[in-house]
Amino acid sequence: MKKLAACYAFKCMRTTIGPMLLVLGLIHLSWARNASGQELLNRSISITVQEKSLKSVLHLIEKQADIKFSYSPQVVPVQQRVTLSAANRTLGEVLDLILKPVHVRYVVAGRQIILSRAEPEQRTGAVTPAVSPIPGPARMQERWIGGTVTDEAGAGLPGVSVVVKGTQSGTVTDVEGKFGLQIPDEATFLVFSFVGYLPQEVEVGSRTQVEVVLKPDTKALEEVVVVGYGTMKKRDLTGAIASVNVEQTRLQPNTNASQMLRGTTAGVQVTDNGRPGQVGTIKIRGTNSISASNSPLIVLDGIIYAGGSLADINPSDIESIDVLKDASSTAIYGSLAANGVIEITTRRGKSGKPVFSFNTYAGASDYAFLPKFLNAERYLAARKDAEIADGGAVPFQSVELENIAAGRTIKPFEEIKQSAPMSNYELSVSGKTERTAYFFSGGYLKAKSPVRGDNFSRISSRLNLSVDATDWLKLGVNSGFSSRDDSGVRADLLNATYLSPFASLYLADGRSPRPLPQDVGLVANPLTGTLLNDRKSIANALFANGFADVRIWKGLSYKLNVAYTRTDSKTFIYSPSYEPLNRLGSGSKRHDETQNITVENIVSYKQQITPRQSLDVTLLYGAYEQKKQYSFLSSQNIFNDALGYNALEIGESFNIDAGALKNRQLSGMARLGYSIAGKYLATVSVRRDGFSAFGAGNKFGVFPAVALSWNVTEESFMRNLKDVNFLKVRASWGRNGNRGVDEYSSLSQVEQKNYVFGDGGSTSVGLSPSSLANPALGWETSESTNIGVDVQAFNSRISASVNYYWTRTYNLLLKQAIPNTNGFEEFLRNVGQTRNHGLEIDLKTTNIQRGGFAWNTGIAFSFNRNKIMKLTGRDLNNDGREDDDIASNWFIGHPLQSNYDYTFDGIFQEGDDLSLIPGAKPGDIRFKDISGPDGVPDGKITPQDRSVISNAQPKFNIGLTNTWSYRGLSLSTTFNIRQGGYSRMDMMNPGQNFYDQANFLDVPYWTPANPINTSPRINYRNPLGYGFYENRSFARLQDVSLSYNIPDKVLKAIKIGSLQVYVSAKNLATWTKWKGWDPEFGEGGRSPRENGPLLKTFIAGLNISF
Amino acid sequence: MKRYLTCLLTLCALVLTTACEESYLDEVPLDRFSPENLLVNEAGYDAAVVSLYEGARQEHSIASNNFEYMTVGTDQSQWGRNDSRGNKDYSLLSSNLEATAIYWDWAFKQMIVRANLILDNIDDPELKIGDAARANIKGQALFFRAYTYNFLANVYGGVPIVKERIVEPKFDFVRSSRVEVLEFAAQDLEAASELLDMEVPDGRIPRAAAFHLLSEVYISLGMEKKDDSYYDKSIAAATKVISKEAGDYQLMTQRFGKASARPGDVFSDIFADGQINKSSGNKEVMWAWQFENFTPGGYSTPSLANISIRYWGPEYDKIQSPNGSANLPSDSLGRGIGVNSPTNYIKYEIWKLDPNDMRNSVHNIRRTYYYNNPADKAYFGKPILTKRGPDGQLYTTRSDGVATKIVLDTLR
Repeated sequence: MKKLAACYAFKCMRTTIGPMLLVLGLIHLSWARNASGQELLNRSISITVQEKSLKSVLHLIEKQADIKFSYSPQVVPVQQRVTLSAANRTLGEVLDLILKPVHVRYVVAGRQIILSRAEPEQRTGAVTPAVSPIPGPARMQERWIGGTVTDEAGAGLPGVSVVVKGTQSGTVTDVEGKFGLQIPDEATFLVFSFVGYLPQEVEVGSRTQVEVVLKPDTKALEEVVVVGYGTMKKRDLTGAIASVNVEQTRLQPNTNASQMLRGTTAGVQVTDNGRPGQVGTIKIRGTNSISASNSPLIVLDGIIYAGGSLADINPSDIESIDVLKDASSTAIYGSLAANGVIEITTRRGKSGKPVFSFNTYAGASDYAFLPKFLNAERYLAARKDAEIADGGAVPFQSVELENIAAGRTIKPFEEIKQSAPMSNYELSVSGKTERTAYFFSGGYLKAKSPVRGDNFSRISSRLNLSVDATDWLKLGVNSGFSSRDDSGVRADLLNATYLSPFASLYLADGRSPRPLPQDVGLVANPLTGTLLNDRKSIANALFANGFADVRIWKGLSYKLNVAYTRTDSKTFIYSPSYEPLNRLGSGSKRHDETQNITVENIVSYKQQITPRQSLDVTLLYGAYEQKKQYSFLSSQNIFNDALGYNALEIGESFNIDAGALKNRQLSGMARLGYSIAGKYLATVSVRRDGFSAFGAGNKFGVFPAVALSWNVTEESFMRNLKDVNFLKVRASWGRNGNRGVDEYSSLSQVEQKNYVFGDGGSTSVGLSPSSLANPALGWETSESTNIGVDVQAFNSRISASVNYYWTRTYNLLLKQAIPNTNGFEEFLRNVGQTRNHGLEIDLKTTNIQRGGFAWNTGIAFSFNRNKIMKLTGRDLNNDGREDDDIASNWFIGHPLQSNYDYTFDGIFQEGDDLSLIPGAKPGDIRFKDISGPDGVPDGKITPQDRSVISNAQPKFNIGLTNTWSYRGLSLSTTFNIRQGGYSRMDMMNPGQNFYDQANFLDVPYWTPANPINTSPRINYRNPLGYGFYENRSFARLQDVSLSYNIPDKVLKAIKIGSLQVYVSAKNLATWTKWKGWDPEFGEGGRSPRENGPLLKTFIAGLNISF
Repeated sequence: MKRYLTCLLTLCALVLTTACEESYLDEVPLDRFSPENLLVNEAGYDAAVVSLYEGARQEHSIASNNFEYMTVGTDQSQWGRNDSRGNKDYSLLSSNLEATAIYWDWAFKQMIVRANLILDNIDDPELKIGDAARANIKGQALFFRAYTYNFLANVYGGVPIVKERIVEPKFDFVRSSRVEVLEFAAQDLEAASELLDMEVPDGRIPRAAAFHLLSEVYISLGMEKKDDSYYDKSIAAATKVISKEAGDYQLMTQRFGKASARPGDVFSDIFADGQINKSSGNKEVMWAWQFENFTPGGYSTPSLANISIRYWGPEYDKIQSPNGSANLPSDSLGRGIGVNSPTNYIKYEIWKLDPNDMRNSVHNIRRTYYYNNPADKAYFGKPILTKRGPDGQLYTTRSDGVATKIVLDTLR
């Protein structure tokens, strides 16, 4: 058994780690190390080649001498054939032998050898301004240009590529940063580029000499990151904030913005639910709250996106996504931010000239991953085994007998499948004039799941406009409208799992759904609703945020932010009469309306106090209100279907439900940022929030935070460490609140329990209390500390951000299980404590960047460990240890989502002593006797033998993105890897899955002839309700995209700014041992609930702008 | 201009800031009651009483997915199917199983809490409720509380007695003895039998029901306390009903109602659809759970009425005729799913005492089922006959008595 477990563990590791290692293993980085030039040239090498290309010879030398050549293929005749025989010659000699004949000269720079074209004799040596170009006789139209390329400190930069713009001709700089080359007369620009520096274009004009200073590419550091109520340069951040590489996701068929975060950002766990257009579950840094919400706050264009859904934002409209993870970054959102904050910024006009861009893609989807049920052959065999195990007939129903006789079989998941095209069109115009910046877009997305009836379409538009009305007043509006339509009735996946391969889904006419495809009441037709019913479901969402920004005085400004979100949704359902079901029509109409109003007053003051010190103050006062209302009408026994849900009034049994909810919040916040010489940075903030749903005296909470950071690279002692471009150390602490409870949670509520008196009587309204009031209900509070390091090194080829955090959440909003003798089973109160800690590593590397080729890797690694520290503090059994809450599955000292059960101990074989479990038979599961009523093993399996055996949380998650690009061509892959975590898998036991009348999961089972020790017999009743836990590790090739940017040269002719064509695939392959529904959401029962099989999508697309 | 605007915006900010603070956050539910604003008049109290009737009916349905814990596994019936859901053996009951907890849950969560809420303040003289209405409301609440405690005493023995509305969760409940629980129930019923109306609309608790239940509780007390005086009390309470002092009730001896036009007997008439309530002439039933198809409140969902009929019938629609025509589900029989299979004791042995007992008539226990698929002209309307084969399996037989190859899935 032990061996088996070890073997299993190894296999798991292999499944998930394998692909990762594969890719990681390929990464070998090559950075320059200082070695004296002469020492290098004196290295001895031996080389013998016959008619080989210069390129391959250089490569051989690279390997032997452990050096790197740097050259432009346009300059060095790489295809030139070389024949050479050299034994124990110095590198210098060998280079002379092969390079001189082809007029190539070399210089040593560190461990690199830079090759450039040797100019005619008279111009070798240093290029000086005095040297005037002498046009060669054969190149009348060419002229000579030379110069020096230096870094900001004035040191010469060797190896910089110098290319005449629009051509392929060029050279590289020598060891002193000098260069010289022939250029065509009409050439106007030279392009200088070097790894780790910003490329630069220099206008040549009539000059013969240019001096170029390249600036280091600290783009990543200068990038502006959205923080709460403002922006900051990445360099100046004090908290743990991750920016999502939005560009990377542009080519992916993402139907909603949550997918852009999936597997790309450390510490952010997105669980896709497989439904087109629906937002997946997002969790940042694990689970803090037990009963209250664990969803992060969404902030859209600087204002809380209250009442809005990510599903309403067209992913293409998104300019950037920043994830605020640590408590100090999020504390300024106080009570809303305990679960992290996602800041989304939509696009706005940038350039002077209007830019039109049109993007489109089209493709199709299939199932990415399905549980495997018995096929026809295995189904028949299993039924035979069932008869043997049961010792009696397990007869088929007549419809199955007919189909078996006729050899007619179905594949259930093929039967409920539809063709699933996906297409997307969007058009945007953006631009900026002197006073106005604008962005306007419209988009249409249509996507279907391969599951019949699961459809989605969205029309979306956005207008972002800002106007500088005067030099001190800026007015603007950011607005979006979307209309989501998921009309249709999804095929019932639960019923599809029951379908026998010999079921008949249709009546004799071949079209009408057969209500009971196997003639057993258990198995309803999964397509009945899909084929017969009419369901219209549309949600219209409007988001409008108007703002006025007033510059009052030097550095002092005031901003008024007003946002209004309104969602109107309707769901209309009609089930027409259907004779085979013996039913009349019935229908319903539901209208929902949600409105959110947010008003925020923000005063900010930015001032350079002294040349070295600067100050940044933000003050906020805001009010938030949410109002919801709905009405629902339904009736039954509608005798005529012609008018569907629009004639509910002709039916019977009317039902009306009307509802309304309201909650409000008030907030005040102050933040102070202070910086000394950009070296030492501090942020201190405090926020006070009041929320209406808490008890009268506890509505307000105060949430302070502080963060410090130190830009180590600014220190003088770091100057000599040239390899480290940037190093920052951060530490932060903050306190956040969680108000994630429903309205009226602190009040005693009453629910409707109707009754009918007398035969043919009408409804009598009954009302009974459904919850206990808790006037003391207040804030759940999290305190979190984060320490982090940001590094960029080796010409910024490596950048890493590492964060370690620990969080203590207390006064949990806990739905405590109370003795039901109270009349209620749970009571929402502030009690208990959880802890989370974890590590996040975001690593980005440029593995290769040479010539036009680049290979970049991004790794997002994270793990989170969580633990329940305290619950109610009660010790009813007086054992001196606080009681676990078994009913709620909460165990002190153990993580949330723990699996509390008996310990599997193999299978009872024939002849075994069965006295451990009363009523046991061979083939039953043997459990470990670990305790008893007296706390010691008692030779019996009792409830005391249960313990926490595992939990469902992953050990770690890895997202791995690789991009290979060569000129306009780019290939990108993203792997999403989850390791560890066990979830309940009830489908593993045929004995509880109607093995006698329906299909079940293709799993092994014990038989006397095949007495395995891992799975019980086919008809095992599972008297103790064991959960059959399975590992949910998986590795998934989540995204692959290949794109090509048509070269500017070609586009210029047809007056197009840019044109990109691409193909892309999503959820291409999944490696896992998990046998249930998709391991990402990990349902182990027959019903995937609201989830569905993930979409494996292939698309081809086109992006044009002009 | 700039100055004006700045002033204006500052003013806005100030107004917002100072507007209301605490009062802005006051919470008033918009779409739901709380006990405080519901229990203010007769209609409000009656709505709370109605929810007690709804709770009482749940006793019947809460175990629905597990099909009648109260009968399966007893000498009455056994689990008739080949899957693992049903309880088969009371000796294997453990605290793991729903069967153990579900009725405790029901009693405290659906019944006692609702009754105590009504009783909490019903005597408040400030309430504007007429005396008669007040008495009847209180009587019903007391009746259901007693009904529930009697049930608990019979299922669990001694349980904690919750006498008052709980507003803050308690964790220190202590079991009272079974006697105390029964005494508490008797006390409630004694009061209820004074308060309840004699004549009530169909489905409501009449005074006679309180006396009837009281006589049962007295018997339990007499047995538990070994005090014979309770039997006299029991006789006295029952006599109130028998002598019609508490209303016009009697055992039915003559056929009655619409059902009397169909084949049957007076016993089947008492249970016939549509004639269970008193207004239909049924004087034997004092109180019955009410089910009403297609009316909200008629059952847990409006489209379902009493669906438990299916527990008790065999799966006749799984059978095919010797010619291969499947039997059809039919309205008159319900769609039996064979989960509660009566034991042989109930089916055969008990009737050996008196085969002509009316309760054993064909109208009250159906032992013969018929082929009902009109497509098979040869067998349509013919009884389904079976024979045990040499392999021990049960086979249907053709009309000539020869066994077919169609095996029946029967208890094993």
